[in-house]
Amino acid sequence: MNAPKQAAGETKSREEFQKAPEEIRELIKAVLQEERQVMHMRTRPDIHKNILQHVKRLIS
Amino acid sequence: MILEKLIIENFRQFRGRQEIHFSTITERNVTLVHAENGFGKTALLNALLWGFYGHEGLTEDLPKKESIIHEGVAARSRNPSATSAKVTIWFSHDHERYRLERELTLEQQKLDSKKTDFNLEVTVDGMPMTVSCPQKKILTLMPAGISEFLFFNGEGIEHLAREENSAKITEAIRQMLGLKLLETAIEDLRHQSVLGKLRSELRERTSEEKQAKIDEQSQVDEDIAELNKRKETNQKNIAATDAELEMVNAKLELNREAHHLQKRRQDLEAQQVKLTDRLGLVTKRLGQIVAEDSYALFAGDLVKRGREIVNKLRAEGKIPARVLNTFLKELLDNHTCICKRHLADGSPERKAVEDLMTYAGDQQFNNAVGALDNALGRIEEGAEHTRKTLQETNAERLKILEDLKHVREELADIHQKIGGKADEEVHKLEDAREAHLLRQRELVAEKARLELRLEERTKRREELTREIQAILDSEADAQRAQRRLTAVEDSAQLLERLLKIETDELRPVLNAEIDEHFRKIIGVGYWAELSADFRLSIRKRLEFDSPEEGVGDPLEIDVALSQGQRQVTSLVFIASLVALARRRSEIPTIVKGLTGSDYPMVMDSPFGQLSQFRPGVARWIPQLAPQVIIFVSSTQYEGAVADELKRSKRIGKRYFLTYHGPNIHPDAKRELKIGKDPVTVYFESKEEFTEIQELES
Repeated sequence: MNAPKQAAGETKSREEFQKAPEEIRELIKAVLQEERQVMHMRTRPDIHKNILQHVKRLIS
Repeated sequence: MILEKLIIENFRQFRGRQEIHFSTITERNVTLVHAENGFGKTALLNALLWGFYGHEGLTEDLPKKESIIHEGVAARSRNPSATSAKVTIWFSHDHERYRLERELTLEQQKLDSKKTDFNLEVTVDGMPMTVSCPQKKILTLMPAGISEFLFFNGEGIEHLAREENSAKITEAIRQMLGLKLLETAIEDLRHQSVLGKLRSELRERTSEEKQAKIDEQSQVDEDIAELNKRKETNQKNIAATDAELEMVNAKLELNREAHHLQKRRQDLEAQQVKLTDRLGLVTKRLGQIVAEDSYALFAGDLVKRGREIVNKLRAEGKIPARVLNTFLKELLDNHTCICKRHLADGSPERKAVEDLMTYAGDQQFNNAVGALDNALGRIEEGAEHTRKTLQETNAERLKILEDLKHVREELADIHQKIGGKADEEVHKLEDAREAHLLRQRELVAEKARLELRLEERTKRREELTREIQAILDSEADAQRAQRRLTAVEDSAQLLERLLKIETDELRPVLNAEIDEHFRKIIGVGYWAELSADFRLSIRKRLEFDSPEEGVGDPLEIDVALSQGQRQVTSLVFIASLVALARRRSEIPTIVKGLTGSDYPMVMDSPFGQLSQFRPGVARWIPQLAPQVIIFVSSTQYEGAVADELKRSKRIGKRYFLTYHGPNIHPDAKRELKIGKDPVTVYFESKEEFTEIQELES
C-alpha cells in the first residue's frame, strides 16, 4: 500500500502548527532540532541547557 | 545505511587484523559468512555493534563484556598503551560516505573498558570532514532503538512477537515515525531544568573558567606541533597508494570484459574532478559576490530616499547653486549691484543681495551635487548588476551540481556493472580497485582531517586569546524570563495537540506496510494488525463449516503463534521497519528531517527455528532489505536456504570463519563444502583465535 497522496504541507498537524504565533513555531522547530540529535541517547546531559539557550535566543 | 567494509583488529576471539568487504551490488545484496557454532558468529555481530555503539551496543548474551581485546594478545602484551582492539567500519548513508573507528587500549580496558576512542568522518563533495559529536551522529543515523532490530541474533529474535514485548516494538516504531521525538520534546520543555532555570539568574562566570582556558591554550600549542608531524607521513602514503590504484586501473582497461566500462569510468572520473574543481571556484565566486557586492541589494530604500531629497532640493532651486557666492561677495565688497545701484550698508538693496548668499554656493558645492547624482546612479546600476550576477552564478552552481549528480550516478552504475560481471579476474581487479580506493579515501580523508584539525586548532588558539579577555558576567531579566516561561508552556501544549494528530494519521500507513510483508512470507489466512496503541498482533478470520454455526459478522481473533511463526513474525516486523525507513520521506509528518534511508539487516543464525518458513524468509528478506548480511552455520544453510539463495543469485560476497583452538564445538564440522573445493575451517591449536577468509566464488 502506498502512503496517502498528501504532501507534507497539507497535513492537519501542519495546519495546526501554522496557526501558532511565529515565536512559538520557531521555538518548537529549534527544540525538535535539538531533540532529534539526542533522542536515542540514554543520557542527554545538554538537552535542557540547549533548549534554554534556544528559548533565550528566540525570546529576547 | 549500506555497510561497505569492516576491519577487526584483536577484537574478542579475532586475533590480528581481519577484514570483510560487504556486497554493495544491488542485485547481489547478500553477504554470507559461513561459520560453525562456536567459531565467532556472535563475536562478529558484536564487532559491528561495538563499532557503532561501543559497550552499550554489545548483545546481552555476550559473556565477559569487559574483555574486548583478544585474550592471548592481551596476555602477551608488554606495553598496555600500545596494545589495543580496534574496529573500523566504512559505510554510506543517504549518499554520504562515512568511516568510523573505535579503539580500546589494554591500558584503558584495565581501567574502564566502556571508555573508548571513537572517531567518525563523513565525505562531503569529495572532502572528508570530521564529525564533531561522532556518537551523537551515529545515533541520529541509526538510533539504538532501531539498531537492535537491524543487527540481531536470529535465534533470539522470536521474543519480539510475544505479547509481553509489545512495548519494545511500540518504542521502536515510535522512534522510527518520529513520534518519540514529539513526546520527548514535550517532557523536556516542561522539565524543571528548563522552566526552573528560566526563573533564576544566569550563572555567573567564574575566574576558574578563565584559568581553564589558559591551560587549554597550552594544550592547543602541543597539538599543532604533533599534527604537523603526522601530516608529513600522510603525504608519503598518499603517493604510494595513488601508484597502486593506477596499476589496477590499467589492468582493468586491458581486460576485454571491462575495457569499455573502465574507459568510460576514467572519463567520468576526470569529469568529476573538473566539475568538483569548478564547483569550488563557483562557490567561492558566489561567496565573494555576497560578501563584496550584495550591500547594493539592500541599499534600495536608502538610494530611493536619497533621490527624493535631491529631487526636492532641486525643485526648490537649492541645488545646484545658480549663483556663485564669490560673485555676490564681490558685489557687496564693491557696494555696487550688477544693476549699478549703490549697496549702502543697511539699505534694502544690500539686504536683498545678502539674502541671496543663503541660496548661493561655490563651485566645489556644485561639484559635490554632481558627484552625489553620479553615486546614486552607480549604486542603482550596481544593485541590478549584482542581482543578475548572483542569479547567473547560482544557476551555474546548480548546473554543476546536477552534472556531478549524473556523473556519480553513472560511476555507481559502472561499479555495479563491472562488479556484476561473471569474469573472475574482473571481480578480483574490481575488488582490488575498491580496496585501493578505500585506502586512498582513507588517506585523503586523513590528510583533510589533519588539515582541518590544524585549522581548527589554530583557530581555537585565536579564539582562546579573545575569550580569555572577554569573559564577562551576565544576568537574566525578570520580565523576559516571564515571557519565556509562557512561550515554553504554550509550545508544550501545541506539541501535545500535534502528537495526537500525527498518531492518528500515521498508524494506518505502518499497519499496511507490516501486513503486506507478513502476507508475502507467511501466506494467506493470517494478517498483521497494528492497534491504536501500536501493538502488533497476528489475526485470523474464523471460518464456519455451516451457516448455522456463524451468527452475525465473521469472527476475527488473535492467533496463538508457534515458535517458528513468532520468529517469522519478528523477521517480518523488522523487514517492515527497514522497508518503511526507505520510504519514510513519503509519509506526511510535521517532524522534519525524517528522510527515507536504506538500512542493512545483519542476522546471526536467522534460520534456526523457521522450519517450513525457511525458503520464504530466504527468498523475501533479501528483496525487502537493501543489504542483507547473514552469519550462518552449515546445518542452517544446507538444503532449502542454500537452494533458495543460489536460485535467487543474490549472494554477492562469501566468507567463512576458520577457528583455531584446543577443542571444537560438538555440532561443528571441521571441513565445509561451500565452494568449489572443500575448505578446512578448524585447526587444532593451543591458543584460541578466529580468522576471516574470503570464499572464492
